Amino acid sequence: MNKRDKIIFYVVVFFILIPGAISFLIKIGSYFMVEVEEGMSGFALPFFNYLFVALGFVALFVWAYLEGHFRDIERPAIEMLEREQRYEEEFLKGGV
Amino acid sequence: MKSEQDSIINYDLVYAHIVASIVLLAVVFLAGMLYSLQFLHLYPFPGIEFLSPGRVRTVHTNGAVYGFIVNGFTAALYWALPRLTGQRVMNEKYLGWFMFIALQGAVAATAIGILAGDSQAIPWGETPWYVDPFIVVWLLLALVQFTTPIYKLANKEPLYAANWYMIAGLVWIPMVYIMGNYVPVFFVPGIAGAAITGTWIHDAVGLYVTPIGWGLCYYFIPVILKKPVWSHALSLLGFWGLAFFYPLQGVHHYLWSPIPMYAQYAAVLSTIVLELAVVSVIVNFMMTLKGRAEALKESIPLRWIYVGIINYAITCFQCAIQVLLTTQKVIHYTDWVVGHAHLIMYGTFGFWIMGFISYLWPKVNHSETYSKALDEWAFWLLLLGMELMWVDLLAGGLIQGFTWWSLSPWMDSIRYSFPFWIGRTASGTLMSIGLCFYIYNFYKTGRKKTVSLIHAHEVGAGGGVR
Ligand code: HEM
Repeated sequence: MNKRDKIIFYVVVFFILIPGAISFLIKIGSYFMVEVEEGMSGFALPFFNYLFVALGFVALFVWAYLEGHFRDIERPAIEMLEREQRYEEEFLKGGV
Repeated sequence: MKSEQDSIINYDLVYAHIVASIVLLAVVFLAGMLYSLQFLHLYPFPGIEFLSPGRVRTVHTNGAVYGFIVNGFTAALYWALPRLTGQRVMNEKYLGWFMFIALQGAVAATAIGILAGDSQAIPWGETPWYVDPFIVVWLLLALVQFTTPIYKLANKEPLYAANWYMIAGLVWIPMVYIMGNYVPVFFVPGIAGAAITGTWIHDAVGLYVTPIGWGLCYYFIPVILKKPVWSHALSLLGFWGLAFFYPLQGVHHYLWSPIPMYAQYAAVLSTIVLELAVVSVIVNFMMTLKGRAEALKESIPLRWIYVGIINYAITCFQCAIQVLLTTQKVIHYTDWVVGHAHLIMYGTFGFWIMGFISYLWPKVNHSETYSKALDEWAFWLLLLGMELMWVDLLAGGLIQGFTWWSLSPWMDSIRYSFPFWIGRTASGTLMSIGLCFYIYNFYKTGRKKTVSLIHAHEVGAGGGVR
């Protein structure tokens, strides 16, 4: 990561992702409290649905990390454009 | 000889979904205009149960999502995904066409079911219960169809942000749909069920429309500008934030309801923090434009996309304000919310789709845009109409809210709202004229088979193709 990306990384992690995680946990906690303390059955049900998919995303994250998807982090953005350019040139040739 | 390009993209599928999206957008407009006339005592079909205003309203809102937006996104996915990954989707010939027909069938069945009075009592999930299983199957098929090329690419090279976002949209939505459309109706009654319907509304937007829309923007913006996204690192951080912390919003739709206050406070807090994550995506898109803003003059597709992004920023800012309990005291149940809904659903996601279609339609037809002037007219009329409708509904909403708060007689609030309802129909008329221009240009572009794609290339934005 270059210097700019490092700054972005820390700003996003500290000001967005960590507060996001904390507020998310508070929200989920409140769902359970409503269910258990207030007896509103079913209130926390969506959480289990969430957990099921979120665990899939955790697995995906670990897999992507181990496969080196985040090593050269800006590379995919360049590769995508190179690929597009190849297709576009071919497309233009084909159309004429 | 077939080129590599021809063998990975099925132009006919892109074409068909675009046409369906535009036709259904026209239906959505028509239904919206009709329903707005009801507020002016001018509804043209009084007393006809099948066309009763409440049902036409539901056709309007459901048509917007399942008809216009899902078709528009699907068309763009059939184009963007193969180009992003270098791989075909799972199967176009059978699965692709089956999905196309099934989607239009589900939309038609939903519209007929709603008009026949079979709506479910779930806001935005009014699709009759007998259509729901088909929609779930469709969403699962879409998951397989569109994640196949991503999976193939992921085994070869690191994924680009657009692909990550598309995975999120495709994976989350079947779960969200089942949860929102069945659980409150059959399993969880009362206020807890209502909270789950709130989760459905917000998660349908946050976990399908948003990630697919962002994913497509992460494709179209760099491609039109011919430069990489400002920070890929930032886009990935935004993605993981969305994947883990966007879900289960919804209680904020029920502030000041019988849901315990601590849960409402928690909902307010998490909504505000979420807005920060959204801002990071907007910053990335804006910084990508840096140094190339003149491209907006030339490229109408790019302009649609960026105006959508600005509307998005406005809606998110609005969200952070309107989620405060003090603001809610005034705006809840008023036209303010309707204004907000239009700005996000049409002013943002709808405009993005208009941009994607403006970019793709000449390409799938191997032609150039029929008339740049018509395109400009359509753009400015739709934009002007949209922003006027938004301001009109916000102002009307505030007046309604304060009238109720002051405990004035209910009829006062109706009387004061009347000018704003006229304003809505007027701005809707402006938008409808813009849409007519758009559709006429679209039709003529489709008929104008060309010739010189090199020329189309040259007139594109900042050297970009349109
Ligand atoms: C000619 C243009 C349009 C007109 C005149 C119009 C009019 C209306 C009216 C009268 C309502 C009902 C408001 C109420 O119940 O008080 C409504 C709701 C809605 N419309 Fe439209 N509309 C238009 C275009 C669109 C488009 C293009 C979309 C989306 C792509 C859209 C999405 C929605 C949504 C999501 C709602 C529900 C709002 C809520 O429940 O808060 N509309 N519209």
